[in-house]
Amino acid sequence: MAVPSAESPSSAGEIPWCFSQVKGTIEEEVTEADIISTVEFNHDGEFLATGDKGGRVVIFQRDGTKMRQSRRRTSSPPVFRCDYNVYSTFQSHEPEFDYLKSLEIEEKINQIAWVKPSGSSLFLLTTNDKTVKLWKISERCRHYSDLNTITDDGMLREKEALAELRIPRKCEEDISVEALPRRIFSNAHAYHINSISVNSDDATYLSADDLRINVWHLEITDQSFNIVDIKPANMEELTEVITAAQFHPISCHLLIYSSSKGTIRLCDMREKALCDEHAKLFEQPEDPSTRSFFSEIIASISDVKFSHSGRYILSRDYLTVKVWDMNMESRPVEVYPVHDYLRSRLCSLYENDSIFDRFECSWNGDDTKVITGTYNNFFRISDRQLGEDWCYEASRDMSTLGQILRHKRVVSTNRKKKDEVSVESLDYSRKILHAAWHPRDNILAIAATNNLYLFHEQQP
Amino acid sequence: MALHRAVLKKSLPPGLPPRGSLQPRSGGGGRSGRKKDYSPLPWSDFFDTHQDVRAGANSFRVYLKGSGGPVLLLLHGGGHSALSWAVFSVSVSKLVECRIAAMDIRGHGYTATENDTDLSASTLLSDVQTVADSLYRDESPPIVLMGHSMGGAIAVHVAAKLTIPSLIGLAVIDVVEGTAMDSLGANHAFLNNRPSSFRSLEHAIEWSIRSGQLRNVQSARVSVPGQVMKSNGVGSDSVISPDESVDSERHSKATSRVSLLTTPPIAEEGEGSGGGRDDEEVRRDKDDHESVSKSEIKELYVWRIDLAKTDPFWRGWFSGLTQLFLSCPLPKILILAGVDRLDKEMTIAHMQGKFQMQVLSGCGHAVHEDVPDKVAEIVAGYLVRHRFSEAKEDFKSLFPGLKFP
Repeated sequence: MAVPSAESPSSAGEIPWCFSQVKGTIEEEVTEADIISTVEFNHDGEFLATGDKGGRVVIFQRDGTKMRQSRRRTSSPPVFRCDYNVYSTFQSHEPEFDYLKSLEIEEKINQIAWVKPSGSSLFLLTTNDKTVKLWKISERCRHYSDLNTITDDGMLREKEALAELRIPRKCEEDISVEALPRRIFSNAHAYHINSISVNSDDATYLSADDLRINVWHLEITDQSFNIVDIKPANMEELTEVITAAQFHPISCHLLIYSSSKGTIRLCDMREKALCDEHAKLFEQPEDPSTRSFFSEIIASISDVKFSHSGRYILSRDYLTVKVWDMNMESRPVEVYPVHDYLRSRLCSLYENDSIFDRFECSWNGDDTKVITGTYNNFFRISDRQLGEDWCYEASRDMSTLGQILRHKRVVSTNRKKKDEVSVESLDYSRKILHAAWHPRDNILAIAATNNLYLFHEQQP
Repeated sequence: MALHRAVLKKSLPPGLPPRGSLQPRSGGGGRSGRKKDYSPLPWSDFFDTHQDVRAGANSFRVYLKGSGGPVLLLLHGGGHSALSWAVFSVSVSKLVECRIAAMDIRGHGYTATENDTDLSASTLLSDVQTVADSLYRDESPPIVLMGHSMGGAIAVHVAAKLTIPSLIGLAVIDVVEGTAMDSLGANHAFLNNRPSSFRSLEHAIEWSIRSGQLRNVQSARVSVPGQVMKSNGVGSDSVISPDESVDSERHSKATSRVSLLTTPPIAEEGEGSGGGRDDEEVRRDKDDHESVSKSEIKELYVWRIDLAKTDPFWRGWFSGLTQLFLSCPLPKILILAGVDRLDKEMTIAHMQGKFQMQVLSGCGHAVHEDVPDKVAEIVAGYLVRHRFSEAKEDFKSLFPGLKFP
């Protein structure tokens, strides 16, 4: 197995994870609208955004962020801050009805993409099936103290007392956060949007639906450029849809998109205005020994992500996670099985529709580990250097509070030891589709149905 | 999501067992199949109560169901009766919290008025107004007006007049100005092709199914008795409760002017009714009925209303309907039996998002009778989406676009 070079030794080995927080209701009954549909850290990991099926977005702020930004220097030693608190909540999208096609348009937030801030406000893009919106999250100080003409109690100062010029101060505690939609990018997609990705030029972004990818400028809402169109002239001949797309993190002219046929295409926008022809095609030839009825369905790639370095591509299909090297199209450099014990159960997974679940995958900050979710609220972390992987559970079991997360195993026998789950008793309704890794530190944000779990590396 | 799944499923080799979750939707009866039971069903199987709203010398029959939620005020089509909403009422009440008030329009069903032949739009709309006032003026609950064909046109007239203050929605079934005006001429041919009398309710019900007028046997069994009456003027209900005998008396007084219709000789063995049967059988049936009528006059059932005589009012119902419909500032829904039944103005307005349109297949003109479950789902979805009423357990959000091929 290829070992990536120039990685820092401190990230090798298993990370001792412990539970930080969980957000969301404890109740067994899950309201459909509360199901989390996307999770994203911002560029420096100080903020975390989640979107849910009810069209709401919740932004969490890392504990102690303000301390860093304030001019006052404290003398306390830097402490590993792992708590996230609610910073802002807003309703991003509402359910709509398309009268022409008699279709209801869901308000579920399919994806969130952070835009690098230019001032003190936060900017993020949110999208549902049809419309992308750019939101500006800004803090407004509601209370200023030490004003020149009015005392802190609200009384007018006496004229005689106005001897010196005061400089009013912001009241740090009394800040309100408001979210405003600054741009609405609509009417560009006939099919359901599955991905949005901001370009490294911080001015453009792409939105991808089942058959087309459009590039927009963040300032311009009435125009967008179509760069990929795989719609066949006759819809009856449709065999492939786009499942995910992303811009390269460094080169602003490169983008990748994955398809339901298990291929990843790299497109170079410098080549042509319409990138229907790929610059590179990443596809692994099928292994004839594992062919089954469902081979094509499980080959469908549900998520694709560039590494932070931009050299590697991570793809998630139903049973595995694959790492591709940009320089080699013929096969992935690493393949990590996620839940191979399900390979023999594909038929029943098709019956209960689970085979169509779209799991996401993520890199850690230095591209040495990858994380993805599976069923039973388990998630799996694979270490690329050691070639090992570990499976953990996101649960509210309070006995693990403060302790290191234990490994979970799925076994095919019924005799179970502690921390083992039998394949028969896997809960397919509790699945982790969205998991995000902090861009710098070892902090995980895991979305399990309507709950958001935060785990961090145990500090010595 | 749906496109993605559809494409993936295409890749599956044929012969895979059908998935359990894809249940064939029950269309509410459909064709009778092996069981040819045409016996009439009583209104009480479907509605809770009925009431006769008195206004001067007029008496309007209203069937009621349900106790909470918005009121669906239902207006039947020409020649039908309030009972044509029976099966639909049951279906929709299962899905959402609502009340049903289905009225017999002047000259139809059990409604008895001084002038049963005045079916002008203005008269009918003031009748509806009267009934709505009488039942709901005090409470003023939210009301959704829903009408089929002629009833739909009247519903639009009422809504446009803005005389019902608590009106919140308008639903129209299978009537569009352009197509209705164009087909006025064909109406007479169709009416002439009908048998003038039946020797029993079963025969009337059977005829309506065999001729293709109605496609849902269960609905026909309850609604056809509302379309016909005994030739001596007494009501056609096979189940007669004590107070109904009083009503039928008044009814017979009001309709004593109705005479026995004699069958005009029909030269052409036209299709007319568009049924799925060959002409021989249709003719044989009619002859059957005719020969009987001459011998057993007492037992005869005839059409409650002579629709041909309402001809002078037809234009008044439909003329200007599109404008009126589009001018109503309420959430509107139009349910159609075929896409080619939409005229140019309405097509443009639909593209502009001015109303919701649902086209149903596998049904005839009486959409709410042929596929009551589907219509109930659509209406329930409309009520829930506009937050007019609460969904019940059985309600599943209808996503028409996400049906798998």
